[in-house]
Amino acid sequence: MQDAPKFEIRVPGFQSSVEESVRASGIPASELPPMSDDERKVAERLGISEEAYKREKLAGMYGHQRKEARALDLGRQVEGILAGLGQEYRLASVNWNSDTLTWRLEVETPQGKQNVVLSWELVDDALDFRTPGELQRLRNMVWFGLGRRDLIFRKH
Amino acid sequence: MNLSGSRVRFRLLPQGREVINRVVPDTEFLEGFVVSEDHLGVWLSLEELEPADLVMLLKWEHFSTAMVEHRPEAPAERSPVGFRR
Repeated sequence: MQDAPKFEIRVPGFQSSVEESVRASGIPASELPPMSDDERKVAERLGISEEAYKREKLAGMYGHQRKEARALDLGRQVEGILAGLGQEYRLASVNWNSDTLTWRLEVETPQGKQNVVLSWELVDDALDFRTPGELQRLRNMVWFGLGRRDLIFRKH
Repeated sequence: MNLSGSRVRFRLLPQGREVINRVVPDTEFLEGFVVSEDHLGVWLSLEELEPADLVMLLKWEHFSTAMVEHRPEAPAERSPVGFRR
């Protein structure tokens, strides 16, 4: 079992994919998550049944778990990159922004806390394929975000 | 192909050379780090540009080719998911 992460994960919202909606639609009604009184009022206002609402809620929970797992994976990769920069660099948090579809990393550096913003495409390419080239692109973007352009242009 | 995050060597077209030569004199090729790309072109960090966080737009219509080092790569091995006996 892996240790708990030393950085915070912030993933707001409950966006689900088509696959997660399909998965939630196959769950027996007795295993669906409970609803609060407020959620019942929302379902009534939207004109959907309680069961349909619960299935959407479950799909959203699946989506949330998937995004949190991605945040954890990204954070561990970034911790590895920061380890190469020295002990004074530490990942403080990984934050998902669903409006801009970007990941924001908060990193403690010798110059203070800095933000590194990464597009979802770059992160997905790195974490899905994990080829040396894709991981290098991620490493380069973290270096650039931290003002370490010198490492990108370093001659091999 | 997404160029963001890569070091890329661009071959400039005459109109591109005219514009870029104000920043990097007398060059046909421009090598930089692609920070992002959009409908305008690619946003580049150049080794010779100061300060280090300054980026420059190279418009799509200002270059003819982009060269990226590319090697066929197998994905890294991942640990299997699940329990072991």
